[in-house]
Amino acid sequence: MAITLTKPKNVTGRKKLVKPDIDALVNQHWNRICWVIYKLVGDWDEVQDIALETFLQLHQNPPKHEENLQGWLYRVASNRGLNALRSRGRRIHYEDQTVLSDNLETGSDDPAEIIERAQERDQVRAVLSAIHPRSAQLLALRYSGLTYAELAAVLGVSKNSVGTLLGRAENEFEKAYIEQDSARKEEQ
Amino acid sequence: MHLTEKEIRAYVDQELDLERFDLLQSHIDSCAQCRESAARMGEKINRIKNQLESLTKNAPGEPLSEQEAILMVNTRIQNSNQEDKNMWKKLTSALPRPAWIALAVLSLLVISMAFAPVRAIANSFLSLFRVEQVRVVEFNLEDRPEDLGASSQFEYMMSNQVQVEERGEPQNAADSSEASALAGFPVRLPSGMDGQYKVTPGGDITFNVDLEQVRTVLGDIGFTDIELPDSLDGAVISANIPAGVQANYGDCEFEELEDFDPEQREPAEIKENLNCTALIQMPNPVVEAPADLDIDKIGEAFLQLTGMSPEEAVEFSSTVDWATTLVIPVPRHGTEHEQVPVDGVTGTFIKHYEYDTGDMYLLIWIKNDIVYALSGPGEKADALEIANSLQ
Repeated sequence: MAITLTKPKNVTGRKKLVKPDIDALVNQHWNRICWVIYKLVGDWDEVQDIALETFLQLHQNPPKHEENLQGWLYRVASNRGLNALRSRGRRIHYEDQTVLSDNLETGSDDPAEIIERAQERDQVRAVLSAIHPRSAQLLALRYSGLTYAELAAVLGVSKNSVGTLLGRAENEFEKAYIEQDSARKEEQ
Repeated sequence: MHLTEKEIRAYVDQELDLERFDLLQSHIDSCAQCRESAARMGEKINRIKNQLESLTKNAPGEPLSEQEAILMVNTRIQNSNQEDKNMWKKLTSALPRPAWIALAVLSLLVISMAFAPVRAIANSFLSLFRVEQVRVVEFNLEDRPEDLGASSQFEYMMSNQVQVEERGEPQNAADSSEASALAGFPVRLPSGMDGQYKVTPGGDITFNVDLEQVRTVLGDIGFTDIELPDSLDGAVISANIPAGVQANYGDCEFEELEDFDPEQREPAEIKENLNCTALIQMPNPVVEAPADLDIDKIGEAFLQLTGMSPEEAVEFSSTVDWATTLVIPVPRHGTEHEQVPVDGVTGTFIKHYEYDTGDMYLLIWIKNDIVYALSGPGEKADALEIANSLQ
């Protein structure tokens, strides 16, 4: 059997990957993906970095068997956002009133009110970083407006089971929220 | 009959088709209990919805525009392409060099590649083995530390602590029997392929460790938390690298790379040799180090250089027998690796892919105390076909 490596042009197997149309995907999903990440991390610089890295990853390691690139994008972006939130959670406790995890809001002139709402947001994020990551991911995406069908694509489950998963995630969230709330009140 | 929780949920979330919605609506209209359940569920969903939506309400700012985002994404892609390409070029171009340097470079992996001058240090840190197996550790480009060239102490350390002696000059061989005679071990070549064979001389590398200096260099490039065992200080580590044979097939044009030269920090422009397949073989190098040297600790230090945290390094290191394992770091992005049966033993197959040039592979295996490294363009099947035809 002859091997034709002496004729380099005949070398076989130089298969090229099909390149996702990244510009089109950015155009279509950038805004909503950024808001999903913002929900988790609450800081625009961080949001931008995570969103850019998500699209870079799509370029570098595109999913091989994924037909639904949109599902992949929201999954990776929300995972990255959640990782950022969780790693921060290990450093900062929301009880620490001197450190607020997000940019302060606009829309109110009363400083006390602004601080109070920022603390509430910190608490919601603390709960999201404490519950099962998949539950947190599901809630962040659902309440960014994704439909059952879109959520099913993100999670790789049938549309039929999304409602049940959502119900479970919400129970987990409420339970953890109440626990954290009472823990906080005890400390005060 | 009452509605299930799932049905109520879908009703409240308005995730029903029209027909089904009407059906459930008429039941709810007539069933107080289900109406009550739906109301309770609606309240709970609203509560959580409000909490989650408060996270983005009145947010100070908004995402970049899509046009700006497209520009930034493409800039990031271009930067990373350039970085990946340089690293892989350096990695594969190292193969055709004298075989013992190539192996040292391999063991150093991308570190040596990314920081050209480290090549020499590879010999000292990483040759503490007699290779019986190969493991791959993923290396994250984003966590890459500063270039070793950034250390003003590095050149001084290299010239002061490391001696390299080559035994003779490279020689060409016409066939496998001539190559075997020159190299001093039985050389095996792929059948049915015409190539060029070069016998590279062996060499001796000696490293006299001055721990303080090594620590200074590590500190200069941002690794202040790497722990090196005190027993390393004053240790003399020597490696006896046997002669090796390199067989080139296809369109191979390799420039001989210079030996480590402190004056020249940037490696010369490296050719890609996209159509060159090269097979390097050499007997296992013999490395001598003081018996009380804490090889595990040095292994952990090496892993930290690849971007692992100290904890991860300890964990990974505990699964590696450093005395017999060649640990190859590969970039996390753009490569895949796996164990494959080859030539009657288990080998390690590493593939690198790029959109514009296609796949390149590197296959490494050890048989009868001889280390084989095959690199070229193509797929796993191409590599295995060549590797399995050696005789």
